[in-house]
Amino acid sequence: MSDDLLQPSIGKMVSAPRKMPWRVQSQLWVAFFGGIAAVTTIAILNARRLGLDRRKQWLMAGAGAVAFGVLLALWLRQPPAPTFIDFARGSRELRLIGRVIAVVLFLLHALLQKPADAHYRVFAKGDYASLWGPGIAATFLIGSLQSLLIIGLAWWVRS
Amino acid sequence: MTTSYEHARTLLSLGRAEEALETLADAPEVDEPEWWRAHASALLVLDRYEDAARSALEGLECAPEHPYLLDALAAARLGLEDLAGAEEAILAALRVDAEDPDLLTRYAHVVATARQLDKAEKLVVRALAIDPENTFALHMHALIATARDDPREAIARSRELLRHVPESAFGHAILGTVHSQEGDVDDAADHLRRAVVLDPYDDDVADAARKARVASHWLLWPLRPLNKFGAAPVWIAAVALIYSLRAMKMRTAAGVLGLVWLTYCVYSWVVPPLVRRLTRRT
Repeated sequence: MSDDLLQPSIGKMVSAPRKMPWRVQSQLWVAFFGGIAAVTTIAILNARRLGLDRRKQWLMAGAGAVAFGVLLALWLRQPPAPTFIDFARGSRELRLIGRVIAVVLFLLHALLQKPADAHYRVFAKGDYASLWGPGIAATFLIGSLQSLLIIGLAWWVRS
Repeated sequence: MTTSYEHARTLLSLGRAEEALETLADAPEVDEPEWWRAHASALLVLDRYEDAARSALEGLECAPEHPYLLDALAAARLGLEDLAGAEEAILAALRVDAEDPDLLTRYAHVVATARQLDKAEKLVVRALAIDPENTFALHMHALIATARDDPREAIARSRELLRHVPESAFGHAILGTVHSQEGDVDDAADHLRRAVVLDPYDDDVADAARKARVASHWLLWPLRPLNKFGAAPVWIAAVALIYSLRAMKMRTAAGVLGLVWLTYCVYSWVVPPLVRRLTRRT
């Protein structure tokens, strides 16, 4: 009896031991404290750990780039200031808006990771790696790099 | 007279795998495939996958096409994350009997682990068409819905499992997990508690039950929106509300709301650890 369902479909792939992924929910804190670039980096790294396809990884990167562009555009509309420090202080609203954009971006990243994460939980007996170390590193390193880049660029244009 | 493997099978059905192994060791009827089957099953229950695979292979030496020894081999290889090897074994079993719902479901488990959820779904549906009350197939059916991130379907399928097997720890565990992901903390706590009563040996379920019990505590009642909608949307809503009040020149209202929100945040950090301690003591 030829039966498509009972044909082998797995193949001799050697399932390389992948690194354990991070909890999707924990990435919220990276978004909140670290911002757009930090949360996008962590989300893409996690997408690889979860084995998400390339298309979704590019989608994450693209969404991150758009968010970055929006934030940069908002900073470019800031009034000029005598010194870089004054300019960097900016408005409180703008900082908050940056945070909101990052959290919305997190929601999108989370949505993209959700199906693979659900599969991991159910069929890979999913334990999770701790996000504390990488999350704090991303928050400080990538977070400050992003601020420097956006604010520096805006200041350079505005002054 | 009952044979050692019949006795072992009874012990296994009671969840006493260690004793089953001892019984089998006392009377090693090594030319009986059923002895090997019971032996491998007991090792599988104890998560000793390497030993289980070895046992199944030895049994296959005396009964090369025994479908349930091949099934045990597939299960062991699945535990060892050798998906291709598991597929090879279970397909060999299905060549002997393509209409066996347990074997079809095992194959579904293998392909589901390899992320082929559509194929897994079709295999389970076929198994259920042959035997609509097969516990293993009903369980897998619910698991696949959970892995698909389809809570509604997962709840419906777990209920279906519980309708046939009201005492299914799996059914309650899946229902509890899905409810807790959906933020329905009371239902989650209830089903996970029942799952623990039915199967006290599953540490993961016990852990989930403890968390659900904490989340459903009356002191954490104010945090239910966070469970229901997630922390990010609630935060965005709060910020949006505070700033729209400000934009409408209602600075006092915005200030008060800001203060309430801050208190709420502090509450959400401070109280859960306290409740965890409280529930641990009682």
